[in-house]
Amino acid sequence: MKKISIICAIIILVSITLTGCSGRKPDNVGIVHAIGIDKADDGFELSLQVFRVSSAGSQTPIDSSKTNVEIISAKGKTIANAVELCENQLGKEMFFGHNQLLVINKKVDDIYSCLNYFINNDDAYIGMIVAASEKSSKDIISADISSGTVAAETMKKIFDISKKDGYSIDSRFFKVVSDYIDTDGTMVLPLIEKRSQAIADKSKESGEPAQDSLEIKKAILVNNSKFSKVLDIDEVFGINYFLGDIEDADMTVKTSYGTESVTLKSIKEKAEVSEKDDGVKIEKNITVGITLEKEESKEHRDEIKQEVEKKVTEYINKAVEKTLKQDLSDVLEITTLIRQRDYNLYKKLTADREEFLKKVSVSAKVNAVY
Amino acid sequence: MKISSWQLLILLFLSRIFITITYFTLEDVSPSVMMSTTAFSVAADMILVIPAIILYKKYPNENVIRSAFEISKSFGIVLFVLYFIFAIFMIFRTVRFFLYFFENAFLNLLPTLVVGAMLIAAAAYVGHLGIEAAARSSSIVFVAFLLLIIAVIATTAEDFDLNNYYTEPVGTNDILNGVVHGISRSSEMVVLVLLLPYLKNGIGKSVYGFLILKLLFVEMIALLCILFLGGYMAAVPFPFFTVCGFAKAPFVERLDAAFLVVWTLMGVIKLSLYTISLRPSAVLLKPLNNNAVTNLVPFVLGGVPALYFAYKEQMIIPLLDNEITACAVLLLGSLVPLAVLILRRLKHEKN
Repeated sequence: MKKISIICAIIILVSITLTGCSGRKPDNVGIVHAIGIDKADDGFELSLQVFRVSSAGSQTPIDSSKTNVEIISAKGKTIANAVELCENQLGKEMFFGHNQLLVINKKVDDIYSCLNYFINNDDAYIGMIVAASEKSSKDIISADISSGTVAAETMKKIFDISKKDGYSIDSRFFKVVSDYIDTDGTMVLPLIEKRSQAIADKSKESGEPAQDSLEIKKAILVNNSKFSKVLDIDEVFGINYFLGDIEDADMTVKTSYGTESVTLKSIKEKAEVSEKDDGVKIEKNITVGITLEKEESKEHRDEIKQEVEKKVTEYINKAVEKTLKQDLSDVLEITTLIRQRDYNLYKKLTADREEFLKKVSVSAKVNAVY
Repeated sequence: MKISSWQLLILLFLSRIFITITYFTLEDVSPSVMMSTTAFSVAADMILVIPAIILYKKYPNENVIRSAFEISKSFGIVLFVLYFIFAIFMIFRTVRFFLYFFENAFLNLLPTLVVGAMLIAAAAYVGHLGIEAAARSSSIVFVAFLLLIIAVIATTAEDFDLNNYYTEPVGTNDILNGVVHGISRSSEMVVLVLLLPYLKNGIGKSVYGFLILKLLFVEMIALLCILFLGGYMAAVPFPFFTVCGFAKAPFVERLDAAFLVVWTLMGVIKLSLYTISLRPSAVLLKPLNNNAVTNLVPFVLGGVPALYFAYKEQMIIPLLDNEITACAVLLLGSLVPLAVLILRRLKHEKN
């Protein structure tokens, strides 16, 4: 009796915890790896990069030399509507738990409504990268990147490395939504571009088929749920240095000894918040670490240090000018900083966000160390 | 059958933390208000639990219903009925929340009814095995829970943003709302006054250990979600589950799979406690002096309606309302034991 009881208990408990292993096979679920959203005449055009269980030309279900994905797209008045139409086309229920990339075309009017579908979809992976594209986002997610098991994984790696080097902003889904909520409507997304020519030229020499590549060297501001100003690479660097998000960025500096290449890393930032007239003044002390390629004399090192400090300060000033002064976008996390330091001041100043951002003055003092 | 103070502590803790990892949100309050009101609510628990401690110290082999029987049989029967209804109500509430979470947080590969029926069957089975089986299982589940928490913290720590935490002045209304909210999530206070006869010794260690552990882990989970999710926390109904969905460990792609296992086992233990706690007093009532009846009837009366409403996709909000549950917990977890103590003393003095 005791044995039967134990067996019964094991069966019941195990069957409860194995609810994901029921009769559905992977080929009955559309595993989405990348999503592209473009503007359509009456709503959105949604493109999905979906995992193909048996890729063309392969003997095995997963072939790392093939793309292993297919692109399907549908137009709908809402994202939910377009997802349904994609499901009808494929005859599968879409699963967004493995999605790596969400690309939104610059022409899309309401960014938050695109994000909102995935906020309400509890399966969606919150670590997916959100990016913008100036050209068709369908074209981006269809890029022929054959390295890796699925193209989206390689795309995600491109973002990870770009972020580490300072070329891209941290635009993971939960981060951008959090910024959007905290700043009452602003965020910044990396702007992704597809390049074919460079690789194609190379492939002519090697005789290999042409491949696409993705490049991230710009970003775009989102203000009141609409795309706004485009940021160049210096301004993207400025945001990353200001927020202390640089992990391993290269910089070229000119000194009296010649042109030097150094590697930089954010070490710490300390902010002072004070009331100024009817606004607020933020002074940020930013420390960046310098790594040299080889040992240099003290004078040379001092000169490099000064040049690095000057250049990082320039980047930050450019970012402040474009985002805060020109666009009144709070992508430098001014609101959350003030909220954390002085809640009463935050409540007093942020009733009218645009008026508040007009009255904010930001200065940065950069200290480079070896 | 008796259990140690440590086992009782773990049983109560798992039962409570199940609620925290299922559902809590920052919809209307700031992080500091949420965290400080949690502390106030635990402080209130520490006061409310005093009658249970005195009851155990005076009558170590009795619970509140048995003590009521010593005053008068009819008083005992009335209390038994009240606690029996409470058990049915809490089984209904727990199963409905479990299925609500299941419907909304997971890709629905199995019918909700089947999952709910299996949950009730597992809980009824553990209830049938009794306190010892539940206590032993809870130690294993507790270790699994600790491992889950460690894995989640280790894999998300590099994304903590201290700017996400901010302090807002806490008003009297915030404190009152927080305390009511906290009490509504403390059905263990009621279970405790019924489980007393099972305890070998060390009531203080069990109860205050449970409250301290509860404070520590509820605050820790809240802080983890706040620092990691920031403003995103206001947009999602199940923040801890969302964090688990992001966290990757070397042994598993997403920790929400591990979460599902631990969470389900916690749910089984929580549900089984409601019928196990009725057993010491049910033996005093002849028609209910049958293990199967005491064990199965609350699951049928509470579980089947929960399955029905889950099938109909209705939440039955009034029955899940915080104020109603808070009043029931306050009454049955503190005021009734206090009344029993006073009446018993009066009877003793009269004799």
